[in-house]
Amino acid sequence: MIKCIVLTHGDLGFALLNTTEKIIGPLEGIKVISNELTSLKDLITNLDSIVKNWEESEILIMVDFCGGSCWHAARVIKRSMSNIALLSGVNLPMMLSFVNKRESYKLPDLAYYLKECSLKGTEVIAGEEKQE
Amino acid sequence: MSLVLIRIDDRLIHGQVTVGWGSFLNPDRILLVSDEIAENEWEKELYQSCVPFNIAVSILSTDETIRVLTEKTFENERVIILVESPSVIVELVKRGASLHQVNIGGMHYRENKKKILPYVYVDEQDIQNFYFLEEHNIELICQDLPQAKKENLSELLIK
Repeated sequence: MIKCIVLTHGDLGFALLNTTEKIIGPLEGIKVISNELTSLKDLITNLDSIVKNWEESEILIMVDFCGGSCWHAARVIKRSMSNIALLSGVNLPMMLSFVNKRESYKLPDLAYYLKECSLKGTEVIAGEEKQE
Repeated sequence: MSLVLIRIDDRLIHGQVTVGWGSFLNPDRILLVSDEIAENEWEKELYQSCVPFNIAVSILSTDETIRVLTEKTFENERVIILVESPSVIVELVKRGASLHQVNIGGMHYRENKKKILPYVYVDEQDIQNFYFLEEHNIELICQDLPQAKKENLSELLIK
């Protein structure tokens, strides 16, 4: 079973996990880290300690957005580790699909699959709808 | 070049700088000053990849920075200078950089550092560095984001 770290600004990661558990039920093997009031070096250290504990597992690190300190820390940790994949833009469709597919997929396939789920989970409704 | 912000931030290039200050100041370039990062190609590329395409990035050593500050490099550009800690600013000033104001945007929690704001922790070495900068008539302003309250560092240190 693939493990997961949700790495975000502020409370976003905690709220995402909390909401996912409300929909699906209690979950294991998912950790949340926030960059709130943390230096980049400490963020990397925090991430590293979780990854070391899970070195036997495949780990997906889901980050809120590409380009911030969270993404930076994740890139540093991933650098030489083949059991880790990174995915940015974490959202609820991704979280739900992760839980559903974490046992049937391997990395990095799961990461690509979740990216697709995120795109498919985004709809635009605009203009006038046809009246019956 | 016109220096629109000189900032101490231990996260260096991140959202608060590229998005928060970036949309407020419209810089043409971010100049990250770090001897350590300047000589590490992988890290340089990583920091560069964290900047939106409409802002140029230069990652330079202290030596190279002094050169671009004294020569007419990046002429007509609005530049944000970013450093990890006050010691880098002290180094620049000692080598002749003329600076008037420094923004303290993030010096996060470390063991044995004293908290003066939620995003500013200092130790004795930091304080000595700040005193040095004050003696050189550099105004020290704590402000993490453009909309946040400006706090004068000297007043906070006295408290």
